[in-house]
Amino acid sequence: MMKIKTQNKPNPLRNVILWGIASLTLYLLVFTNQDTVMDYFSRGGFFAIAVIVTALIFSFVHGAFSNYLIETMGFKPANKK
Amino acid sequence: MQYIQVLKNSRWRLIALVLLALFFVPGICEAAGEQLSDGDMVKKFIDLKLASVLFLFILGFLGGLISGFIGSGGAFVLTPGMMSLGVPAAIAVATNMCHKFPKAMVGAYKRFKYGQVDLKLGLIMAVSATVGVQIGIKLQKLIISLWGAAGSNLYVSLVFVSVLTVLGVYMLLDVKRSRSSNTTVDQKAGLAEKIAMLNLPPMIYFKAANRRVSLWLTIPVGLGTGLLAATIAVGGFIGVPGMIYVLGVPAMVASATELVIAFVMGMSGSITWSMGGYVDIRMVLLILAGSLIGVQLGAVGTTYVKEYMIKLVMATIMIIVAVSRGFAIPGYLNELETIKLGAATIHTLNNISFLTMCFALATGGIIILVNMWKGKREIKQQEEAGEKAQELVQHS
Repeated sequence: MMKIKTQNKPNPLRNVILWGIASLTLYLLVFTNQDTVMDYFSRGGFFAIAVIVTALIFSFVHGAFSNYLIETMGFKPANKK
Repeated sequence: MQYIQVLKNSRWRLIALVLLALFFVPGICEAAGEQLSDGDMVKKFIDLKLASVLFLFILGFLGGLISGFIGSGGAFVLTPGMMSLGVPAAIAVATNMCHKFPKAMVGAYKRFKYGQVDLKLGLIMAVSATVGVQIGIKLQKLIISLWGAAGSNLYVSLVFVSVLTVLGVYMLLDVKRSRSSNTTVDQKAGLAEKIAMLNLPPMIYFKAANRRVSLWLTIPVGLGTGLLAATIAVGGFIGVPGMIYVLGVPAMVASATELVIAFVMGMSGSITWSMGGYVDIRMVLLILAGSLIGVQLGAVGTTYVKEYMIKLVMATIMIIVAVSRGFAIPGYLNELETIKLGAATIHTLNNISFLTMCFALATGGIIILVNMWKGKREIKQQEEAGEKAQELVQHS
């Protein structure tokens, strides 16, 4: 029996929606609890780690969303020779 | 001998460089960009209104777009932008610094994928820029002790205006030459070709830049970058032209490598400021919401345009920013009692200065977006023409 290979084509729109939801959730989490967040994050010292880690997590999640958003808009890198 | 063998491996050499950079972290930590007096160290967080949220998002997007395209230059408007919302100076500087490193990291990663980043050059420059920052801070402290805060501001403005005007005009002339020769590849700067003859060991080969340059040449460029970063917060205005015209690195690689320097300096600066608790994480995230889109769009944009476009955008922004800073000079002269101006006049001049900075950001953004659009359309037309030609061949 012949095996039919199905190619999983990456779907940028699906990725935009998924990463968009993830990013929005993170933003909502921070801004609905902004008093608590600011209370801890402005303490300095050891809490500096929280600031750096938060910036890194957002740059990963929102960065992935932005990447797919740009691709969906049709801006893919051109192969210049 | 074994150690020397290990260091001959390029990966280990890179690790050694990173460790060296980390060693300098306490030094880079002071790379706040803008100098603050003890009176400025106010820790007060503002309430964010919808208008402020939108303002930060738009500023972030435009700043990111420009940073992704020319390697730096988006940050200069963010600190005064936040201060215009009522944010104290220390919080504005800290927040600006903390948004810078994730943005530079994403931009550098994106451009690394396009083969535009020279990691080795970036790390070497970052280390020497650290020393430059220290020199800049010491220089400014000396000026403050001699002529006070107004004298320091005047010195900063004069450096700003003269450096940006000279480099901006030089770059514009270079763009004119490149356009008239109509080449897609960057023209090697004459000065860099002459300097490249300097065969002073240790000579280092930079793969992405495809240049073999003496370490003693990279150091002054890095120092200059740090010096400017400590003075006007945008080291890239020296770093990128320095890499292009002194080291002979193509504009595409220079602007991408600048993002590595911005990341190293931004990261260490952020650690220091957040240890003091000065970072407003809400504003960092709002700026990042726009700038992470902008920086990636700007990075993709570099693949659509000819090399001289990077120089054109950079030169345009530099000249407009120089004009903007020029508007602030009468205020400092008034503080030094060299000239006499009314409070209303100074206020108006400061407003004009800030609006001109915003105009610089918007102009840069528009040039990038228009050229990206044009580049995208050209590529689409070429693809369609290719498909048609293929169809014709198949029919025949």
